[in-house]
Amino acid sequence: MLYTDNVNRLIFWVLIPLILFSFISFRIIEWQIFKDGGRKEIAQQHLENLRNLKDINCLILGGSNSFFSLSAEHMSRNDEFNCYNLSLINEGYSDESYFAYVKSMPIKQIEIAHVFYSTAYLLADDKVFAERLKNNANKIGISGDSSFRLFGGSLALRLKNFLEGKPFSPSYLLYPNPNERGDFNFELYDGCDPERINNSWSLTTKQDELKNWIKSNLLRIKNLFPNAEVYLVLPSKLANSLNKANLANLSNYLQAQANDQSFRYIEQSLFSNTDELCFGFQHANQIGRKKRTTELLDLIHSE
Amino acid sequence: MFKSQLFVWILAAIATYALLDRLNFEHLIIPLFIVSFFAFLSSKYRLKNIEYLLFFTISFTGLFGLTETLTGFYAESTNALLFGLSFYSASMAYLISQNRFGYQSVLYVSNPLLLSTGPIALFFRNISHKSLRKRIEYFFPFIIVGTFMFQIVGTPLTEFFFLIESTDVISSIIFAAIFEIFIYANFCGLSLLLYGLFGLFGYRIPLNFKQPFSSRNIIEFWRGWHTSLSQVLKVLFYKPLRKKRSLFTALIGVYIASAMWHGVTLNFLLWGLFHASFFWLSSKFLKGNNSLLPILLMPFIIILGRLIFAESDTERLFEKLTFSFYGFDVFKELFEVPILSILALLLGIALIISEFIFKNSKIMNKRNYKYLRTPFSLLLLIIVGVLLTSNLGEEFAVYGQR
Repeated sequence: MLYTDNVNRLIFWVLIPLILFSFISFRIIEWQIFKDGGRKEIAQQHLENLRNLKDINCLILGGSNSFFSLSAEHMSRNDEFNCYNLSLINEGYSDESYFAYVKSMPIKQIEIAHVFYSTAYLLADDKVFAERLKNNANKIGISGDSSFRLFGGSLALRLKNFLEGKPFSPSYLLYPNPNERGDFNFELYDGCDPERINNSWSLTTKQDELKNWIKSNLLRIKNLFPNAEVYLVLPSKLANSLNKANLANLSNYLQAQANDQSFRYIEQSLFSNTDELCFGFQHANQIGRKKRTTELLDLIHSE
Repeated sequence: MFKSQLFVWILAAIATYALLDRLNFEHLIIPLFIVSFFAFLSSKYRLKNIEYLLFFTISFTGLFGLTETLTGFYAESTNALLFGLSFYSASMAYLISQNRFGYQSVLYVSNPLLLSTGPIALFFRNISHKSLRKRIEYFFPFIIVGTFMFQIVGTPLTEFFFLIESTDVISSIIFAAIFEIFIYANFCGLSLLLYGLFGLFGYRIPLNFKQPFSSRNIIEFWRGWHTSLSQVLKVLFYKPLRKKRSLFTALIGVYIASAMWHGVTLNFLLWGLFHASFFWLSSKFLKGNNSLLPILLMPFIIILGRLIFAESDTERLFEKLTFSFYGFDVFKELFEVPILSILALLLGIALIISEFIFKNSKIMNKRNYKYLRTPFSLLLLIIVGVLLTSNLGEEFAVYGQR
């Protein structure tokens, strides 16, 4: 009995505090050496690229969906377009930060004739969309939220990676600098892993808030680029069990808005399988990017 | 006394402000003013039946779209004027009916942490005479167990929420079962966490859950589920109705009141009628010395009840209630969620099965999670928790302020 009591006391007053202390220390250290996945460097590279590029008349805006899945280089092969892909991962985390960043770029705004705004937030679920609104409220910068998180990435999954000979920290979050047209540089990236694609997603139930959000961003784009034709692009995504009726409702609404508010709405088709994807149901690989960009050009010209 | 309650109120305000998004200073202050105003009113006047008006305030505000209906999903009202209304109105209703409401209740009825997650503040007993060491030994384990249930079991289960859209019988039942585990892990987890936190600071609040799955029938189940609301319903509805009416009528009254507190919608009305009927039926079986049927009925009542509770889309609810069979494709979808969510589901199932299977053992007798609070269990929970904790899933309080 005495022995059990002593062991219990040891567990309660020594072992448990020790584990908790070690865990919290680990999280603090991880927080202190926070890496933004190369986001700052990417943003800086865009600035350098745009200083060197002349006569840009077309911009691709958006988040990771357009960074991975649209190619300004490919589009610029068409005589009509001299494009630059100014998409940022997580769409710059908050709207204010992203559009302030776009505004700060050395671009002759009045000379921009085409803006392709491809936003995956149209396909976001409640959690992702709520996070965007939260980021907007907190005015998170383009490098992301660097605040302390006690419940970060799972240690079990990291240990599993480590035991499988993979890096302890997830390498897929480290992105290479974009090429001279701002496109994602797949040659320098080895993080594509179709197995990581989560095919279970649903549209946000906060449709009214989403509609207000998209209206507000389209207005920002029009104010920034007064002479541009603005294309709102619903990104390609992996076909899955999504409620097609909900997606059709959203598309119909955006199409009706497009007619009223003088922007053009383009809905891109579904990716047929994961062979066209890098990771994420809307993140293409090189094959998927070529397909999606070609389709976008076809859709523009077929209208 | 006032000073220490004020100190706890301020600490709770700071914690709530830090933890909840989109929260302003007025979210914390307005309930304090409203509760103080009612304390003033009740010290001057004795308004007849004011407790019933207070209890149903949340039903009226919900009916007029001023507050959101409780669905178990993320439903947070941004209206600062109505922050925490469902909880403090129920607290005041209960305390007024017990002649215990006054200025001394203001600081705990309007405590921001209690308003953001529950439980309903029925009492706030000062236990600061107990030594800090004793309080740590007793209450700290509740914090560990609560955090584990909320963060490790509950939150990753939100990855299964896409299942709500499927209307076939297999998907609907699986969703309802997972949703039941989620609600339990989330609400019970937060309640235990707060029970532990307030205990450390020298105040005992109601233990909102008492191992509901350590039950042999639905009647025992309700004795352990959201006990603070059950107590309010018992005092305001069950006892007065039972004096004059039959058991069935009293139960219908209680469950309709409960349904309206959750939200004035058809699914809640059906949910109330469903539970009242099965509660009554179980009591009839028990009176006839038939204890087997109630135990067999219990999982069916819990899962079907949750199916009705979760589905605020009436058209989809009726489609689900046709129980159409389209095959077993849902199992394929189930395994497409992240591995941590599947582990969370297994842990949730393990918790519930342990509660049920060992319900007669000595350690389960008091139904206060003692089996999870032993040093060895805590060590296990912490090791598993440290390994599995992640930012996966959506963090919110299912009974969060409306």
